[in-house]
Parts: sequence; C-alpha cells; structure tokens
Amino acid sequence: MKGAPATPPLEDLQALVVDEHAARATLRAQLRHLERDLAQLASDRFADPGDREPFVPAATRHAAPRLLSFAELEAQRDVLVARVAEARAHRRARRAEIQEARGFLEEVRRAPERHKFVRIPRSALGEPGCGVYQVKPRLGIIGMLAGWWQVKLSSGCP
Amino acid sequence: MTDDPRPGIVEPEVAAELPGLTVWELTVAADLQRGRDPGVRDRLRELAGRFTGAVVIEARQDEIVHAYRVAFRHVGVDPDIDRTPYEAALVERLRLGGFPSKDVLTDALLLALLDTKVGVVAFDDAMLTGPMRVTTAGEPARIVLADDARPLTPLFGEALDELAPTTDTGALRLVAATPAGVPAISAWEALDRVAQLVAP
Repeated sequence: MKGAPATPPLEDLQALVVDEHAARATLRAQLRHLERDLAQLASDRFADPGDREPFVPAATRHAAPRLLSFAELEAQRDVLVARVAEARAHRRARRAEIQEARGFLEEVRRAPERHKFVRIPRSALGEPGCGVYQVKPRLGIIGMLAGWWQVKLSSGCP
Repeated sequence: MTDDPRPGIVEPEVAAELPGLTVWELTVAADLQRGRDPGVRDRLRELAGRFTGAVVIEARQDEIVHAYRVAFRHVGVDPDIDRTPYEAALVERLRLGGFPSKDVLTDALLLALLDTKVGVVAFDDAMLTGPMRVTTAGEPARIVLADDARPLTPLFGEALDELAPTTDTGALRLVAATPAGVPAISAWEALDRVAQLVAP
C-alpha cells in the first residue's frame, strides 16, 4: 500500500523561495536591458528625419506603482520584448526603404531623361534637411524640347 | 545653509522588489508668500530654449532618467504612458512652448528637477508625523510614500492637495525617492536646490 506523499523537507521549500527571488531578479535585469534597447531604438528612429514618429505603446493604461506578482513581471517583460522586436523590425524595414531610395536616386542620376520630373525628398534617403532631388530640364523649355535633363537638389526648407 | 538630507525608511518588502531604492527627506524653513524670483523666471526661460523634441527623446538614454524608467517598469508603470518626473517636465515644455513661472515653490521644484533630473515632492511639514517611509497600502497593494499616520502619495507621485503646502506653510518636508542608479549626490543637490530657493 502506498503511503501519503511525504512533506518536502524545509530546506527544499527554502530553496524554492530562493529560486523565485533569483528568477525575479533575472526578470528585473531583463527589463533593464530591454528598456535600454528600446531607448536606443527610439533615439535612432528620431535621428532619421524621414521617420520621426515616436513609438506609441498600444493598449496600455495608466497604472499606480505596485508590487508585481511573478506572472505580472513576466508579462511586463514579454510586452517589452514585443515592443523591442517591433521597433527592430521597423528599423530593418526603414533601412531597406532608404537603401531602395538611394538606389533609385543613383538610377535617376545615371539617366535623368528617363525619369522626367521625378522628386525624391532627402528625408526618404535618411538625410537631414528638407531639400528635394528633382529631375528638371536645363534652360527650361529649351532643355525640355532638346532632351537636356538634370538632377538638381532644391535649396532647402520653405 | 541647510542641514544634510536624512534617509527615510524603505520597508523590506519594497526594498526586496526595488533594490537600491532610497528615500531622502529634508525639513526646511520656507517663505512661500513672497513674490516670484525674477532670477528663477529668467533661468526657466533660458532652460526652455534648450529643450527641443530631440532632447526629450535623448533624455531616456540619460543614466538618471533610465534608472527612473526601469524602476517604473519594475512597479508596473509604463513610463511612456505615466512619464518619469523629468520627461514629464520636458513634454510639458513642448506642449506649452516654455516653462511658465507659477509660484515660488512650483518654480523651485521645477528648476531642481531640470537641473538634477531628480523629482522632489514637497509636503507641509506640520501635516506629517514621523519619518518618511516607502511602504505598501491598500488592496491590491500599492507602493506609496507614507508617514507614521497614513499613506501620502503614490511612489514617484506628487503631493495630494490636502497635504500640499500653502502660502501659510512655514516649514516644508522635501522628499526625493530615488531608484537604484541615481547617485545620492543628485538627490541631495535637488533637495538643497529647492531649499535654497524657498528659504525665507
């Protein structure tokens, strides 16, 4: 006949408590690192003049400071992991966009006559300033009729 | 010259969750009836010129602001929704287009915050009993600043109206709760700065 399960010794229970302390400390450290990453990503995004939208956290409500349960700490960590992942994905996509825009500008420079009146803002290239690269005819109507096209950078902000 | 700030009490259950959290307090004589200091007003105007959108975004990489943001997350507060004291001041600057001067105490608290990035809360000392402590209150347990008699304000929050100093207040209790990563010297500087600006 099987007996009732033995009560775990006190040392084992203490070890479990210690383990939760360690796990909580690990979660807090992860939150610290993720917060640092998120700050860096926000800063990088702001440095790009064509992409200055701040990261706005979705579906988060005002909260009072409280002692979090282990599950709540994990949830906090998971939310930040998702935000950092989203911000990194956005950065990758934005870099690809910039790369594509720069490639297109090169193509336009090589053959402006094939891209008449095309406009590429500097912000699309990840550059500061509000100038625009534009394909224009040299000497106005004469250049237009003669097929003399060039890429000019507009003088800047209005 | 003011006394040195005294450390308050952080209850063990809070200290376990927020290692390094410190609460500093300083009791100072104050004259809140006099008019605003033109020097402070000029300084606020000068500071307003420095804070652009870029500064607000970059602020979160500052060590002190980062420490507050991390502490906010550790207690379940999203610092992008409920902003840290310094970031909240900068966002207000962007919203209002400047730091409008209000009254002696509000200006002193703001100036200390902008200079040190440490938030200071001011209470009417006559309304308080015993030392300042960080503890839990209510169900579910909230983390609050409290005296011996009652909870006073949420941790990192502002003084509730009934405890806030009035122009009749003669002595202030200045309190700075600082998370791990904020040097004590910054908290002391913030408290001392307010003390000097409100001194009779």
